[in-house]
Amino acid sequence: MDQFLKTHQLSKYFGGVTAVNQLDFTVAQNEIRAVIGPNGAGKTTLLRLIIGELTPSTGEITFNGQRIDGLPSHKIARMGMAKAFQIPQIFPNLSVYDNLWAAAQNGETKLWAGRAWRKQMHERVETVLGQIGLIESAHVEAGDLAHGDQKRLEIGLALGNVPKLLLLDEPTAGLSQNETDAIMQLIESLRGQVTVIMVEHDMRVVMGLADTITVLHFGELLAQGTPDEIRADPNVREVYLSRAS
Amino acid sequence: MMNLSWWRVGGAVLGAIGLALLPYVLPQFWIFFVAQIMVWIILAQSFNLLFGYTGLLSLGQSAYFTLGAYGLALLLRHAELGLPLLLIGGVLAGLIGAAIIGYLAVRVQGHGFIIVTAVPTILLILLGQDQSWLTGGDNGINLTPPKLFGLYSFFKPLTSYYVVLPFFLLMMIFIAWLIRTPLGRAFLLVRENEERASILGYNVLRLKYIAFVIAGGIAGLAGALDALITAYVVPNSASWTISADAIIWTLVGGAGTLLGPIVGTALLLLLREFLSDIWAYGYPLLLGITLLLIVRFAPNGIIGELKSWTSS
Amino acid sequence: MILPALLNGFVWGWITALVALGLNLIYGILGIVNVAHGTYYMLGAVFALVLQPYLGFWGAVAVSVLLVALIGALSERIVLRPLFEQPTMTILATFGILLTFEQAVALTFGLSSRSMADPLGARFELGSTIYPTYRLVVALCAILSVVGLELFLKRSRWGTWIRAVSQNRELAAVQGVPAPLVYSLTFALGTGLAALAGGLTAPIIGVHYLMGVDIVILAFVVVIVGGVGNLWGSVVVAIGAAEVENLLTLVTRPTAARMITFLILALLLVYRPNGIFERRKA
Repeated sequence: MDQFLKTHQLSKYFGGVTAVNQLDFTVAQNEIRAVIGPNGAGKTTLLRLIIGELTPSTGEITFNGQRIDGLPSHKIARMGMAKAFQIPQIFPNLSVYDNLWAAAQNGETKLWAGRAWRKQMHERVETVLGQIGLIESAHVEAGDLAHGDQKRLEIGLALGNVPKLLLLDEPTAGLSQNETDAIMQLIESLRGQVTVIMVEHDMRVVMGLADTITVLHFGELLAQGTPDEIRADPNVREVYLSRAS
Repeated sequence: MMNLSWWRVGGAVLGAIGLALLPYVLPQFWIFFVAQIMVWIILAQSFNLLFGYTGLLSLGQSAYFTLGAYGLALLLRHAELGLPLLLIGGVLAGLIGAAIIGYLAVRVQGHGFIIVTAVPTILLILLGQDQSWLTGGDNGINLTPPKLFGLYSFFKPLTSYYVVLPFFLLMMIFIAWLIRTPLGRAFLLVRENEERASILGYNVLRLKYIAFVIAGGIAGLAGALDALITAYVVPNSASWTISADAIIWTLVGGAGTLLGPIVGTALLLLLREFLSDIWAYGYPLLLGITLLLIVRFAPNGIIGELKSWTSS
Repeated sequence: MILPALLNGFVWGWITALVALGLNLIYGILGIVNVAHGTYYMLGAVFALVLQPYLGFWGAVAVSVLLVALIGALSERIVLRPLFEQPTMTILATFGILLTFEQAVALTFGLSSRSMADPLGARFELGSTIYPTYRLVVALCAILSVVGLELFLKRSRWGTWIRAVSQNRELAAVQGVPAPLVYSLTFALGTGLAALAGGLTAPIIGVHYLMGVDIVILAFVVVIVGGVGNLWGSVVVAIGAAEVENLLTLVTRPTAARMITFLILALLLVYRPNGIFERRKA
């Protein structure tokens, strides 16, 4: 689907500040899209708007053909969207296993848990544990994990409910070279199965993974294109050179 | 993992059998006392469900306790109903009260929630004093409970004990079951990280409401049982200080565990009973200081600290 | 009949305002849900009662306020400071404080209410009835204290520090405001205000170890409805609620009047969780 995620004239105002300004933004299904830009460009706000944490001031958001602007985030999540926070938002007193189970349960609050369903849950949790490389830590309390492992768990939580659209907010922030490589491998392994919108500052990650890059500046679209096109774009260079972020 | 180990089940069965046989070795006074402890444990579990499992600090479970007590009392006075229906009436009173108040309360974020839960307790006491023709005002109402199976009077401690016991066990089984369901797991997520739970697809507001209503029903059951075995109801039982008692018992025992409220309530009530002979007002003073120590040095309570001890 | 009711509302409104203001400071600046706040109100009354034979009424009240403020500062320093980043544990610690003080008083003074003589013993004519002069004096004291508080916060160095911390804790720390001092000071101020209210009302309602239980919930509701951090908001809501309640007693029973007033406040709390004076954001 070409317009798997689409925003139309999307704006968000906070008091006197315009975080996102009349943004038209479209992502195709199974694309890996990177969103970059200087600090304050509105990248995180965009993700928050898409998953429903924030309500748009104006504009529309469409996901898989359905209008989602104004819907509460738990409803949007159950439609097949997931987000990984920049600062890991985990369930600290639950084990890694239970954390992922919570994600796999996908908001279900029934009272009867049949054997088949539980088997499905176990399988899903174990799959994700393997994907994020935390099999040995399965029974550690999430709050006791090191930062790098918490970041991995964070992505695991986002993968837990087999999302169609995955929003990643700076997935490699604060990680070592090795850890970043691991995350890159993980995202690469999702290619073709999941649509990914990734906010990132690390250019190596961006250039290595993205099909298309969107550059935001002051909440507006500055440039959009393939990694090569963006690398060559004079506007982008100017914004990044003068900011050196 | 959340599976039920055979040790736990075995322990629970042993505990149940022990409780069933306890009256054979206890004098009359203590039989009644243990029955009373079981009733208070049910109230503590009501608070524990909200706070220990869902992360909602409620000062107002006593309100649903009193609603349950009066639900039973008024049905007893004005209708010819058997025991089971009387108790159901009490539980329903608690459920309905919580359903109405909870609808508004769970929408209040942060600390405001705590205060909002305390307000119905004051309103209920005022209502009780105001409509004293119905409630007996500050003096309350003395009840004449029906005889169990037409034979056994509630003024005999043994009757009270063997009526409370099955409901006590039922309630523990219910809670143990509930927290292992997908719904119960979801409660934990609200406690741990509301924002994250929401992003994972959980309707946090609805979850809080469901927890609130269930807890109200549990408190209502405690109130109804209390009305039966003490043959007395009074509006002042809704005081938030009674909620505070349940909170303290739960915390000392360990919030967020099934055994915590059992251990905490039993221990502290027994302590109070023993101290009442030696040093009458010493108990609350001791309790206050104990609470301060627990909060500072053992915030997970007795069972909580035992758990971390054994797992490390 | 209206005039005494209005006057009662005025007097009780100011007393509630004192307690609410103390709570507003503590909750607004330290973020502590201090369920023991009513206990300091009670201690204010108790100490006033005890010291009266030695210092006379006004001396007793003054010293009582200072004593309670000291106890308040110590409570903060010893019990609550170590629990700073754990809001739930803090609330529970305040339970501990409540129980300890309440029962210490019960142990020493017994369970029943003790009365305290009206220090003025004067009445004045109010239309067709007479009204105790003392109550007006209480209101006057309360008004003076609130004005004094306002001046202290706006003009004195310590007051400026308190205001700085309440607006932006990190910024205040960076600018050299000594946070620990501010915390203890705030607690002392807040509990002192409650104690003043307790001491002043003792001759009117007597002294009882449980007298703080209900007023603390009312104070919390007043603080939230008036807006946390909005000191004059607390005053307005406190007086407004007291007036409403007292005027209602003209048409219905006292318990019903109180119930209706509380219900109104509770609904305001639910529908305006940021206070009734908060401007709605666009």
